[in-house]
Amino acid sequence: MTRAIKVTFLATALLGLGLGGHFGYFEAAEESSLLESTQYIAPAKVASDFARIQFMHADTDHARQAVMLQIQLLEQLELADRSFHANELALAYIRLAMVEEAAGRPEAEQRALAQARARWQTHSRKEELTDEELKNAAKRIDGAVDDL
Amino acid sequence: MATVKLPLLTGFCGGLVILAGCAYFGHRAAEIVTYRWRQPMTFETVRRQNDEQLRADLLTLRAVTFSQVREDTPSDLQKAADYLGNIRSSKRPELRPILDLQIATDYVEMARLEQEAGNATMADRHRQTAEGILHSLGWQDVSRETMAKLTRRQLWWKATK
Repeated sequence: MTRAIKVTFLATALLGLGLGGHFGYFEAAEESSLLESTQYIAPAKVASDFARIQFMHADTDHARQAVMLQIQLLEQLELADRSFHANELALAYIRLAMVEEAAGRPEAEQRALAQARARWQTHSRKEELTDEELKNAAKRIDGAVDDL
Repeated sequence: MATVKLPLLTGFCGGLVILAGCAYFGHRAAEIVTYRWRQPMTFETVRRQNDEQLRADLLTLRAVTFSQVREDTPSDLQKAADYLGNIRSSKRPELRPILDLQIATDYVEMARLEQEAGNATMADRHRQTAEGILHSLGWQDVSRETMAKLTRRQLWWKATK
């Protein structure tokens, strides 16, 4: 093997490593970004399912704890990672309002409804909904999921 | 002429093989290094915010998700319930009810499978375990129909896998 061929092979090897490394890095970085953006879906869904099931079946104290846990987790996640959008928070606050209504705490109910309304408008950008419209929306969503 | 062409051809083919091989190894190495560095499914963004408790919560919730996709057999469900039961004590109290609900769901499903297999005693035992857990979660109605709703969505999800 002549020196020229050795140099050519070495240059070819370096070129291959460079090209492969370049495309490998960009592919992996793109897939990592995609995975990072979806990594919260499963944990958020577990918290959401738990809150919904407890809201439908448990007493007011346990239902409140479950809904508060969901709200706390989603709000913490929003603060920790700006790429995460807690669209479920409006529904969670409506559930909290309904729990407070059942527990006979109208002030807490109104506070929760105000939060729900603010969240609802942020995401849906529709005109302001009344308390009953918000509650009916939550009932429809929960009923539809329960019928699956 | 042939003596000139042969080394050229051999050299060209050899160069191509080296290029392809090195490109493949470079690609794989870059992928592995990037994944190790970015760790996309381990909630690194949360860790970088120094929010270890939130990250621990997320990992626990992910463990519940993994538990939900186990094979639908009594032995696998029992393993899933045992695993969640084992990690339960190390989790913060606010998070434990989520694990409890998943454990209850596993027992409801185990009861259904045992009932179908004709093991009425085992089915009753699993159902009673589930009832106890659900009562501790504040449930008043623990009828079979209500408990069956717990597993229905999980089964629907598995059926559409």
